[in-house]
Amino acid sequence: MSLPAMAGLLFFIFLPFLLAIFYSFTDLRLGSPLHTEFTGLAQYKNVINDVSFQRALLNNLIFALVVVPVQTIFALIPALLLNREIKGRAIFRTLFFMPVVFPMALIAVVWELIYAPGTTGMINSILGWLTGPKDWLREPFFAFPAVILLSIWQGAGFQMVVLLAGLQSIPIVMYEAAAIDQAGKWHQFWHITLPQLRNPLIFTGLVTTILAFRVFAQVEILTRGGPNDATTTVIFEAWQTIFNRFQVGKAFAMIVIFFIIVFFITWIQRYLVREQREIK
Amino acid sequence: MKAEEKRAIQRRKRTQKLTDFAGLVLLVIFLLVYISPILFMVSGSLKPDDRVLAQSGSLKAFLPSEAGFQNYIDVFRRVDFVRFMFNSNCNRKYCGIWTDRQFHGSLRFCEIAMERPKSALCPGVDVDDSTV
Repeated sequence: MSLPAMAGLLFFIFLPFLLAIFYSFTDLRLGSPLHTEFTGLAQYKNVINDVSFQRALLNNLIFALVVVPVQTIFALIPALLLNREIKGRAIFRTLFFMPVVFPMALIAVVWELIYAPGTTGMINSILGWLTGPKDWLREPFFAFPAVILLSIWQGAGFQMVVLLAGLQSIPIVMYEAAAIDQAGKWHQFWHITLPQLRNPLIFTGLVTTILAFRVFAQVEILTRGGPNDATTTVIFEAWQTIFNRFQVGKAFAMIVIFFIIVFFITWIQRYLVREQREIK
Repeated sequence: MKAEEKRAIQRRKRTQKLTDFAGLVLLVIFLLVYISPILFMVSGSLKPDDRVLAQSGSLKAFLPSEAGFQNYIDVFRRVDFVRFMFNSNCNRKYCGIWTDRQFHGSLRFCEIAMERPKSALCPGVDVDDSTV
């Protein structure tokens, strides 16, 4: 029964990954007439000492650290507001989910116009009185927050739907009992809503962390990793290394290192969550 | 029931109504800000290119002033949009996301729109109508 699924996993997940590990120990180059040679750990040393890779890794960590909590808050607010008997709830829910449906490539092009420099840009016309006209995507200080803002906006709808489903599964009797005990809305939120939302929050946190580490399309379209590597990420750096510098072996070494880091971060997250469950 | 209790219940109901209304207003404001990029995209799709750029810094960016469907017509005139759409459908079929019925329905649409036989549209895929 599970043979087709196992075969799919083997050929499309495990085999390419094993090949990536194998080629990361070589100097494989695209279009090079020279023979591929085994170089041992040389590619890994190259990658670790590469300033661009270090910057990309730091950016990825910052991206995940900002996006995961902020996106969760931005998803939780509409989920809480929608978790009531209001007319047109389905329409509201659909509209909030809409950015998730559009491909990131398309959304990034729209946001490029929104971030446009000078007075033509929408953000400039809104914040111009406060910040003056800025080139949001070409100033090192603003470019990365601009990418982060777009990513939070695009992904919050998915989290909102998951959290709303979690909110709707909380038994109403818990709130009724709390109300009888004179508990205010704030107390109900802290002592009923949040603890009951624990599993949906863990799920969305893990998924968003993994997706945050895979950020690529918005960087490629909005900034191409610039200015001065301010917005580069590991996946973008690996892509550049293969298709612009043709260094396949080095790119595979980057991917393997990145996989190990993401694997450990996800494992630590899961471990911390499990520990808390056991204590409770 | 005492008059005081009645008043307290009425006060609670009033507060509840006010809270609900405030929540709704907050939700609508949040939603409008949230979907503004999509509104910008949709209203922009109804305008000529130069208007989109000229108006993107004002509230007019969200209003389909001088609205027209020329961009939608151009999509079919300038590029082989039906082919692109068909390619996406073909990918879905290969990835097993679509059922045979959905796939053949979409294939028939593309066949009519592109005036090409189904077998030429998707080589290597069984396009026999008996599966529909």
